[in-house]
Amino acid sequence: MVLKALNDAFIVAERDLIELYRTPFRLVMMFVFPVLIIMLFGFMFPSTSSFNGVHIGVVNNDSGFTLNGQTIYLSNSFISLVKYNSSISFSNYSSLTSAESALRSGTIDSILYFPKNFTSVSLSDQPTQLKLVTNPTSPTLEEYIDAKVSAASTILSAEIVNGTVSKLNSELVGLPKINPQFIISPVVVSSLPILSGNYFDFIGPGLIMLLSMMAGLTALGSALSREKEDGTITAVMLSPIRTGSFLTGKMLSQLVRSLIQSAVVVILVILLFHMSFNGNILLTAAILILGIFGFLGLGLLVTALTKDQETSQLLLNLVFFPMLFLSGVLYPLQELPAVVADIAKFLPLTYGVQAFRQVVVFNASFASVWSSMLILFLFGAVSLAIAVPVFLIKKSSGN
Amino acid sequence: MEYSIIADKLTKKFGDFTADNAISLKVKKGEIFGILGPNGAGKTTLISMLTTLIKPTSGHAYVLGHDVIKDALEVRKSIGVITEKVTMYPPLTAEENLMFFGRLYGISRKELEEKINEGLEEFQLSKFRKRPVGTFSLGMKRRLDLVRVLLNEPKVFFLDEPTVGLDPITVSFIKKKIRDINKRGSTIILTTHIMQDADELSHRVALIDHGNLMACDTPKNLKKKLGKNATLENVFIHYAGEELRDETEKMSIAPRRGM
Repeated sequence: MVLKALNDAFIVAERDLIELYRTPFRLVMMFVFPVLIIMLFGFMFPSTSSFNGVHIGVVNNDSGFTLNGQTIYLSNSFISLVKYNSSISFSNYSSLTSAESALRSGTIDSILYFPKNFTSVSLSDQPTQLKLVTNPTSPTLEEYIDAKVSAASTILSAEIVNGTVSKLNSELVGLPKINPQFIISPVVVSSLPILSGNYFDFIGPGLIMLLSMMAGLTALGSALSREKEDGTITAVMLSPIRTGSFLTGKMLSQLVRSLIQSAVVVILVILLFHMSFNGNILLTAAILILGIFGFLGLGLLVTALTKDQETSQLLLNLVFFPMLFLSGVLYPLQELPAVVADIAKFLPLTYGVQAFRQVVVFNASFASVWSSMLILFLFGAVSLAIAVPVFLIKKSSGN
Repeated sequence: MEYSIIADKLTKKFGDFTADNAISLKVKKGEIFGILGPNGAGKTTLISMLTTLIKPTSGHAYVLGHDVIKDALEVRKSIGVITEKVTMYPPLTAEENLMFFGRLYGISRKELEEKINEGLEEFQLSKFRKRPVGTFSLGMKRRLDLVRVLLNEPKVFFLDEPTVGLDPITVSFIKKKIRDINKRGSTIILTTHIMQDADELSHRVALIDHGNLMACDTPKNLKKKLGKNATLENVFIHYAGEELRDETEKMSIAPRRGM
């Protein structure tokens, strides 16, 4: 009996895969959607070095400083320093008002304002100040410009300190010389990345797990709805096959196609966005399978409880969107408010994303991720244990 | 056993709507048994219960001695069902569809290949075996459906509107095949709205309305009761009345034609 049940499940899975192969549009769409998602997110959340077309407006009132008949402008040196380390372009404005108007209209992304005495004060051993007016509605861009301007400011400050300290050292006779580095930064922090990576090492694994979840959530639903619409589910249910075998077959085929889909996405994110892949392939596949399995039950439950595909899609959106934003797919959980971070602990995708990221990027072993994998498995098993009887009751009652 | 089908006070309720109300009937082996009734009468619900698709609310039914609730798998092994809606996978070829359904009955690949060849030959579809079913005309699909249900050599057939929407040539062909299948000793349950088909094909007919069995006899006897020149249509209207049947909200939750 068990052998017959398993054999029937394989027959159903094989048929599903043949149908997929026979429908080129569905086959193409199976890859287009995840690829589109990856591309969109990949370009939406770039690493800071990939900002292009950033434009700063300059209001330069710096009158410079004349020494030995030669006038020097530190403001120009400052702008050169910003340009040196970025692709930021600059344009001049005559007043702060006109520059602000350009910032509001989106012509420029920030304003650098140099006061009249910018150079003269700097060279007279007094601290000077320049203003950076930013656009807080674009935080990542604001952060990028701020980082580039701060870096230029640090270099210029170091140059000024170096000059001042050298002058001072030459006047100190018979006394220990002052190290300018000590004045600039007495405490130095060395940042040592554990591996060479980029932001996509964070977002990539999260998106792949998110896509696995979506495959699990929608797979059975859309497959069963299509069978209902075509009437083929009736013909299958009229043959001597157990409903359990039919559902198992459907799940098997969805697992196979989702794994192929995930493999393509993984290759794509490695090639396009240089995501690190350091993990064990078997462990990676196991987490992906659990990621799909974990949500099959929930998808089936929604399908069983709803009359049509449109209603089930609306309900699935209620599951999908909170998971997208709260499960650590796009942002670290540490960035979330405490209450929201607590809610995230109850979402199974959180554990899937965590485990997948650890394995793929940091080559974590099974011992490190088994608890997350167990949570995914348990969530899938419990939701299926609820969903399958509900589906059977609905089917046999004719509702 | 003398009877292929025994229904004993078979009842199906959807909430407070009774689709079938204590229907009892017996269908003899080798009989073509017509089930007639207006839209929403409870015919499809009755067929759905007899074919194990839905469970009765109360009552019992047996197909070839197998309880439709307790021995659902045994019932399914011995029946063949054709619904009004053709139930084949459109992207798959005729051969792939037949292979899929045949394998679900546990038929070996080799035996299945032989049966498929014979079936496609008999229903004049051999040259279309590699074509996706989605490209077939309704008549071709209906013939292919018949090849499908014959694969497991069922003893009882349920045919729900097998000739609806077909051209006269195909109708004639299908009716001939129904008679051929019956001659091989199979029992056939036929639901149809085409009174001429029911009259021509059925040995006995049951008239169902509002979920109740109104009459059950040979077409000849039923017509005789209404007079010398009465037709089966007259019998139908006599029992069902002339009032048009618009579907109510309650009726909409019961299984539809095509199941």
